[in-house]
Amino acid sequence: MNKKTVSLLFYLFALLPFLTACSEISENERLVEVQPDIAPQPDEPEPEDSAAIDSLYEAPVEAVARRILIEDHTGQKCPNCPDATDITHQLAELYGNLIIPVAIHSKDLGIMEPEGLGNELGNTYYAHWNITSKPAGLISRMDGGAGVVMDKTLWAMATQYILQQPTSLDIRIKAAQQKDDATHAAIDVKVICTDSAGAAVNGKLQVWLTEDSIVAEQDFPNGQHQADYVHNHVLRTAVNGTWGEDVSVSGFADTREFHYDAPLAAGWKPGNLAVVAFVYNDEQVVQVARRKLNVEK
Amino acid sequence: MSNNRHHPIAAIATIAAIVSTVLLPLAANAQDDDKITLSGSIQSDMLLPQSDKDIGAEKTEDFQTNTYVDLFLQHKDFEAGARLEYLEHPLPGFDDSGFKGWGVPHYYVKGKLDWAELTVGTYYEQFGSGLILRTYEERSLGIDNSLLGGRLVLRPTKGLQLKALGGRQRRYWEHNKAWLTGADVELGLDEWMPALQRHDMRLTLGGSWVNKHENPNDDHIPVLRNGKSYELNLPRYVNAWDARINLNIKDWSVLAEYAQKTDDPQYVNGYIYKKGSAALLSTSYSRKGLSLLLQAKRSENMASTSRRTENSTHNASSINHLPAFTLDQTYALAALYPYATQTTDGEWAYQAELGYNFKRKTALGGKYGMNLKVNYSYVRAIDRQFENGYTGNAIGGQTALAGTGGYTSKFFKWGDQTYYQDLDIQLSRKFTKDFKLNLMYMNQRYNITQIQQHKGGIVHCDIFVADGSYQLARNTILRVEAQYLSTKQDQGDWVFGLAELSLAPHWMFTLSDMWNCGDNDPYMRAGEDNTHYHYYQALVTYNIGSHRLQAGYGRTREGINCSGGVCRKIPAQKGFTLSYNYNF
Repeated sequence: MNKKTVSLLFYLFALLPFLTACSEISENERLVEVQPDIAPQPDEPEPEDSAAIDSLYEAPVEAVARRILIEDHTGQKCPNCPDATDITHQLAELYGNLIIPVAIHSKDLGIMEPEGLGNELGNTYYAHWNITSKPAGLISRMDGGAGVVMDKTLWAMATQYILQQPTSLDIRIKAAQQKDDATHAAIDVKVICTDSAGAAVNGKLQVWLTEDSIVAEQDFPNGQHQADYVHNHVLRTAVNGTWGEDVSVSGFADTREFHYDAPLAAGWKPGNLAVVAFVYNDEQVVQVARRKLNVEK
Repeated sequence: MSNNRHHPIAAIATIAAIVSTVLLPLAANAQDDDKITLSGSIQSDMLLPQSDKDIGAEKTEDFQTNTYVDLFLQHKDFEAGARLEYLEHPLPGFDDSGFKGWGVPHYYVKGKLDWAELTVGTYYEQFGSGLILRTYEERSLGIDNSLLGGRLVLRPTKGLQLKALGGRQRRYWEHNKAWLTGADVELGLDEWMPALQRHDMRLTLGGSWVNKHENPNDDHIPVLRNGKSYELNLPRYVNAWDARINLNIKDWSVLAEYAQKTDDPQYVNGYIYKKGSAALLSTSYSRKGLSLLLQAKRSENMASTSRRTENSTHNASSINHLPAFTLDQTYALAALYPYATQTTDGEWAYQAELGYNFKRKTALGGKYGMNLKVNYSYVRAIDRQFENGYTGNAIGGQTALAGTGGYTSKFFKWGDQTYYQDLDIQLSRKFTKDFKLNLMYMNQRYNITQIQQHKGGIVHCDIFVADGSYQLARNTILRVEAQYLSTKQDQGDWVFGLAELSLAPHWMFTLSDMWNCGDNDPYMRAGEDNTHYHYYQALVTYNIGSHRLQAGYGRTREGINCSGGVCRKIPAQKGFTLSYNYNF
């Protein structure tokens, strides 16, 4: 090759970087405010007494908003998991009780019962969804394009999307510690079709018990450790089996009612328990509801 | 079938077409100087797993294997290659989402002239030390981040090499959407300046540039702040450049390299908008019987991926590689706490290595000579002053940093944490015609919290190794290893023993056991105590020609497997193993 060709090639190479542009984004342009299609919702207070609970349980059937189940696969030895919990808190601040988080503790990066919050139920769900790292979440079990298991950075986006989707179901819950047997809870769940066109909804009803305000240890990034971290909405047990039971409703106001007598383990604090009930099919969680366990004072 | 049903078929069809239409006719008509040669290799590692509650090994499948078959056709003017991978039932630890599958993910055709080379298909490339681009395959870590596209290499004149490339990066059985383009120039100035040659000097200048084009609309990264909802305004382009100079004067060699990249908000750095940089200085001296290496490196926010939402903990989508300034250990206990380069958090790393050969027939060298090798590595955090009230250790974590500049850092200031330190002394001496002994002592400080995200802080170890081999007969060698690791932290002390009998040229029998004899981990809880277990292995190896077959049975400890500062977590496992290798 002669010198002229070599020089030309060299200059062509030197120019290559200029064929593409830079993307300088100034400091005040990094965040773009977006208006959620669903306006922020105030958190409705829990009904205080059995009369108020009965009233909500028996209220006339009407179309309801879609609520979101966040299955937060977490662990006490998972340093990055409090970040994910933080995201569920922020979402709950924005959307009130449309957001129903459940913290599922399991063996991986967790501490198993009785010392910790992990349990076999959590292990089963963790294995079923083929989760390989924590934190990981399922947002109403909807496939976001890369599977139903989502990284925490995608939760807010998925939540905003699902909240815009209509639902044909309402779920109502009535739950109280039994007066004559404090070791059991009486739980009633109604699954109601709210589709005015009368379309059928088939799926499985799953009923869980969760517990709030559990003070236990938690790891944080860079080796930090907090002995008295407050864990909320921790999955304790499945009331109607690991995968729930069949439910089918068709036609406006068509209702199926389920009754459960759920044993309460000795270590649980009944006043901090809540019932989470949801209906799911192969594609998603169609509707979810939550009600605190009513404890007679 | 693989997760991607199209690639294997397309690739096999492409290869078949190339072979049938181009290569085979040429091969049939080939003259002696124009012949096509076929070469390749098979590697298959298999496990029949068993559950073992004691060590936490779980049997999830009846049979697991990582199997690779490589084929290459070579001619003086062109080359073609392909690799079949069968990873449908991968070995334990290779359970990343997306890893499973089988097919032909690697395939290429390369045309060659004296001064030019054009590759089309998948290929591997490294610019300089890899600070801004390194694509490579490392099977033991499940890494193959090749590029699919084209690469042109020109050597128009002596002392000048130009490279240009473009493509999309492999991520398991798919290719990421981002387009990578790059160019590299290397000038061997000594070829053009006779004065340098006269003084036995070689001077090479190098410069590289890599551009990542990733559509900002492909990802919506929501940020919730003060009760308001935001999305990140993501950059469409990320540019990185690298400049280097390498000077060799007689026995001395000096390499200085600096790389920088533009703001690259991505999952691995918590979506911060901050430039990344890496600087490296390496000096070495080598003459017969003596070698010296001194090097230092500083990196800051240089993790680079071709998929901004990449959250893999297994280095998927990684574009670059920062060399580790620590030794890759081969002895079992010396490799128990391996260092992983902190590409995201950044690090200051230093290494000094001395090799000296004591001559034969001297007081220390003895009849056959003695080799001494001393290595010292020290890796330290860089200074980081975080924005947004985040301290780097605070509750709330990295989500608070998304969309900010992250942190500022003074170049020469250290952070307050030591990540890694080791002093490694190795002596190798042949005492008699039949007996050779290697001795090693290593003093190690390992920040298990930073490196493995495991509680415990600094683990301080003293490791002793004795490795002796004795030639029992003309074709029979017995090698014995004894190792001891002493520490008051983590899981306490370990002891390891190995005996290996080689019956050349075919057979080798190996027995080993690693036993955790310590009991010092204050973080182990009831039911999770994994101390005092034996991790035994028995292996039989048979070699014939280019074939190597190894069968074994035993337990493997849960741990991390590292190579060059890149690591993969491997779970505990137990069972029958079979390994087959063939090169042709």
